[in-house]
Amino acid sequence: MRCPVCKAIEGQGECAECCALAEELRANAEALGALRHEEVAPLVVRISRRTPVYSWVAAAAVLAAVAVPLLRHTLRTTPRAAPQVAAAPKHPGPAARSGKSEPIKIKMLTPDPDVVIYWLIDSREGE
Amino acid sequence: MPIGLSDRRGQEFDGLVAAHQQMVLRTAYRLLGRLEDAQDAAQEVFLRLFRNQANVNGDPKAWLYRVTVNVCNDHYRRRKGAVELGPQRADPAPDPERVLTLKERKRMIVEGLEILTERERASVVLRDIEGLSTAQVAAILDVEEVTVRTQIHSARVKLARYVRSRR
Repeated sequence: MRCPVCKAIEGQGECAECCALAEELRANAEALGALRHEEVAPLVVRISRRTPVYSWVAAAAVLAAVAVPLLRHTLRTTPRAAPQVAAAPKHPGPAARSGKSEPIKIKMLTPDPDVVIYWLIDSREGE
Repeated sequence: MPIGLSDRRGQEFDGLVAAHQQMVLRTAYRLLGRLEDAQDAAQEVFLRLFRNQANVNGDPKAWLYRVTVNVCNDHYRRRKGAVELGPQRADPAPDPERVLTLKERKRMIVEGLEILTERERASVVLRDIEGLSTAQVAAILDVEEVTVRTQIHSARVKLARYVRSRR
């Protein structure tokens, strides 16, 4: 590599800048070569051998032993959402006695204790 | 990252890892500059070797170098995106005439690798640190030999100027 100064003084050696760079390159080459011999902390490559079939069977059995009772317990404790029908009044009210039919009131309980549905059915319906 | 292996294949693979892990780790370390990153990259390289074991015939050195460079380049780009890295700022009053110890110079060169381009870094690591021939480096990087020479020359000059500026 020839810098403009070196070209200008052709035949009279190189300029100080080029000499310094050449010296740096030489010293760096030595250092780069030394880096080649440096040991790096060894790699941890974890390799597991093929897992035997019986260990999968054992794992499945353990999983079943834990999961089945848990599933049963969950099903048993789940609240039922089916509506409960309140009994119809046993005795006819004054309106019934007077010949007027009163609507049948059905109380439906929901899973939410704060929500109750009343269903009024006209008893003459379907007569 | 456990890998399920049959005994024979496992033994072959163990042998390959033992024979080449220093080479892969050293190259990755010089390309990435951090041991933890180099170990991640080396794991990735050996995982790829495991997957391609059947296709890698004979001496896997060239294949391993190529994959190491590719994996490290990917890693380096991801890291650059996450955190902007760069060499430390130059000393406010550098003394270019100060004589460096070999240890100091090596440290500065390793720092200086960060300022090189991807190709320059790969070329100088493979040629000057790993000691491969220009032809081998060209084959690994899939470029012409003349390109490798240009990249190495450029990298060496950049490193020399970097070291000079950091004294």
